[in-house]
Amino acid sequence: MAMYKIVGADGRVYGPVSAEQIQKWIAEGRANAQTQTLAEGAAAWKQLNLLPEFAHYFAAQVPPIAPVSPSIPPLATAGARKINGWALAGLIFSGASVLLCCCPFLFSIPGLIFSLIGLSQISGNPHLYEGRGMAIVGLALSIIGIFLGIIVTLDSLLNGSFHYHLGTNHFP
Amino acid sequence: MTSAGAQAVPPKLKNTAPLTFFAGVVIAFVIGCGLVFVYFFNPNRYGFYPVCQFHKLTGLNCPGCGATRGLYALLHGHFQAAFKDNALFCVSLAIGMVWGTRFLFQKRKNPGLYFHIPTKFVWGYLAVAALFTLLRNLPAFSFLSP
Repeated sequence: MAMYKIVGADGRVYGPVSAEQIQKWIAEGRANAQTQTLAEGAAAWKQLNLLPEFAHYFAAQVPPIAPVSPSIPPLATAGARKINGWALAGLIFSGASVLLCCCPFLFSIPGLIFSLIGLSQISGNPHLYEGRGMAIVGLALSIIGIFLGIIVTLDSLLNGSFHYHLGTNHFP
Repeated sequence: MTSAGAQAVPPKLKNTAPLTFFAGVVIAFVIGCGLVFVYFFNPNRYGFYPVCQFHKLTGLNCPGCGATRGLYALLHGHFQAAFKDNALFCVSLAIGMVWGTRFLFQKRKNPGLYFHIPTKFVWGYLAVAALFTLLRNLPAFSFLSP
């Protein structure tokens, strides 16, 4: 059975242990896709998700474009980074929330959520995803959108059907 | 790099799960409050809902116009009315629910899974939303506007 060594969060080497143990560590949050791993007999350390036997654990995030050859160092795949879909969706929704300024929360809240998910996925997998700037702009725009939404809601509250209860409408 | 030996267990990676969980609870609470509110206050009757500024300025329907009324109709089981109010909103909700449920089932098998959205889907969605916005403002397709 193949044995593996990994670099833990403290920078120390753990193992050699079996593939089952690695899977347990993944489940326990002691190893993740970025964990540097050395398979028994291999020449170089690799990220865990670049090892074919563990790739399925992290597989759904990467569409199978081209199999990553074990001989190619991780840096060689840098050109293949893809824009993160959440970041893009977040930018579009938060952009809509500011530009259209309509039904403000309908766009700004999904924009905020999508941008945050995008940002966390990009931070966790910088070798897979690009679009950090996109996510940050989306985050900023969605916060602006939420503020605009609050203004529009206050306007509706004060000038809508509730102004009977608020007395004379002092708010132009 | 020093070796910690075969028997040692690596420390847990910096865990952002509690923060994610907290954010999830806050978001679920806000959305839940919104749903309860919309359920009891019919947007067709009460005027305190935020008005679409795009509609107010231009008189045109934006891609989100009718979503609150559509949500009210959905919550009361009037699916046809909801679809007429905002078809894009209904379809988006359905896609989100199907994808989300499928992802949760997959994540139970593979804990390390990420919810990946292909950028092609996002661009496609944007194109559909743009087409929907154009069509619902044409008299021939008035059945798409609330």
